[in-house]
Amino acid sequence: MTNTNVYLPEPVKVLENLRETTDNFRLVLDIPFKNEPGQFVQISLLGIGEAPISIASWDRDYLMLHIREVGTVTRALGRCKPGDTVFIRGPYGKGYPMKEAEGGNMVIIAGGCGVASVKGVFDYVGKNRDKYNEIYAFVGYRNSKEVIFEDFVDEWKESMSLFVSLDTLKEGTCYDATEGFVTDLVKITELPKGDTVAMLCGPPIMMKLSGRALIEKGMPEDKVYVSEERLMYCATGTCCHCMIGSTFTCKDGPVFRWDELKEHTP
Amino acid sequence: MYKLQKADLNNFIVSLAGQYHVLAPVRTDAVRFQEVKSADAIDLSENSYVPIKQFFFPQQETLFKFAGDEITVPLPETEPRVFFGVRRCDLNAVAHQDLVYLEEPQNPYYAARRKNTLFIGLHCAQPCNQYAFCGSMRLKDHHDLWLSERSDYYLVEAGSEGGEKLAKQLSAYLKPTDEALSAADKETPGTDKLKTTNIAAFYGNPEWETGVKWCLSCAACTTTCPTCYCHEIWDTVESSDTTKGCRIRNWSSCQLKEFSRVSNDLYFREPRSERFRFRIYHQIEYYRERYGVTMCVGCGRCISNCPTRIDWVSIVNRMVAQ
Repeated sequence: MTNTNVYLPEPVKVLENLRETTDNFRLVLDIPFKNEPGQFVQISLLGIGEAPISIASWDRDYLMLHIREVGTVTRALGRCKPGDTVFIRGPYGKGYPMKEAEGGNMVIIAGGCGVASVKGVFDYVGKNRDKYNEIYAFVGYRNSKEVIFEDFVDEWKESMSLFVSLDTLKEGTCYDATEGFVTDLVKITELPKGDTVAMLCGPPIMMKLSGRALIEKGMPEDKVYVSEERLMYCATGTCCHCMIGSTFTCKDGPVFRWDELKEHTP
Repeated sequence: MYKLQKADLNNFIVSLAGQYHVLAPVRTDAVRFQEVKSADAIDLSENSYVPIKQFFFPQQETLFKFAGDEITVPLPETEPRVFFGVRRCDLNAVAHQDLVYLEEPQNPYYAARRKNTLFIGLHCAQPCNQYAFCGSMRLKDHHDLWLSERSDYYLVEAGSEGGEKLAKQLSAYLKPTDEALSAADKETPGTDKLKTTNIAAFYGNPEWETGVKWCLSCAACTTTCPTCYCHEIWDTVESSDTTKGCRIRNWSSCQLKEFSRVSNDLYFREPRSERFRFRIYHQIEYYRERYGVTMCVGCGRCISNCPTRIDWVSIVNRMVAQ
């Protein structure tokens, strides 16, 4: 989108609002969207407010967002129906290093809502599979009710080795998943050999532990990328809420190289 | 170089006010910049309590109005303005906000307010208050005209094309002279108080915690800071018709706990000491990494306006002395 006034959003129609879990829903918006996997948009409802949301699609003729209801804006968005108007500005930020990973392997680790951020990566490799060697994707959810993007799982399995973990796996479920934290699943899995780039998104503790696990397994720190979440308003590096040390999550991130974050200084 | 006789100051301001909106320090409840038509009300005895950033970056601003899905943008229109009697710290502060808001993508509201503005600076021969440490902050020239006081006149330097043009327009009062400014006309004695601006090594120092224990999280430091530019954005609606309203940009403060709050009530900088340290690091280190200069200009307002007088300059100096 080109707009000289960075604060001005564009109206977009809602095509679909799909409830995925009790507090998670997927919005499909009627706009062909150009973005890098891992970037985000500012979505708003006039009179309610604006929120930064990861883009869960890449090179589709629609824009897909996966949203968790946690505040005023996200709850109001959860009530949107097809045909309703929402307002969008973006895309913003630096996405995952898809070019850098070319010719090598990829390890993707995502937990809960964090899967939405790497969903763009999955879309991307679906259309560019020949550019990469092995692709291992680890996705973790709290339990079988919290699984999102279930309708994409078959598509993902075609292009990568998919490992699913559920923190708690109820007896009797025939879910094709390992019980435990995704971090533990990463620890016990033998990762692909050779040049590998890792991409992580999920709760802070999950990213910290899985990042450390990868580094302990011998991955260089500058090959591990994490997608950070912070409070943000402007999305252009001026409101300062999203600063991590001297870097702006909105502009220099949200995807950062592990070693750039300097021990995650507050 | 020019000379402006003190006896001509009133005529100078009256003439200036005939062509521009002239804003100068006036003592009301405190010294603050406001529009003047003559020199009568101008008070140059101390620096303004409120910095001039509010004229370009007001505390609250409407980004757009909406009615249903229709959006209208009220971009501000500003007529040519001259700020008279701005101290070196505050001139640098404007330049530092320019770096933030005029770089791409530009803030169009700031840019609209900022254009057509000229600055007539005033040299501080004495420190403006006991907390000023401008002498440590490597301030630069950012004036259009610069006034340095002599016995019965001001020595005036033009610092820009706009300043030269202004001097020509006001040639009736600004008379050319061979007299030159000296280094002392840009420096204020007794203000080189901060022992270092390289504070990277002090990140883990326990003084951040002990020094801030009297903090009330009132945000007076960031509110009266001439450079702080953090803000937040939210919507309001009319109570009689909730389909109408506006999106507002409002100052915020990194000293408030909510500043770093994300979903699930997770706070990335919860303790006051971390918020305090963040403010100082942003003012000194973080901003310099991005823009090449410290954001802080050493005016001392964050200390003089702190209700418990948390003096971060002394705190950093203690770390240096350790």
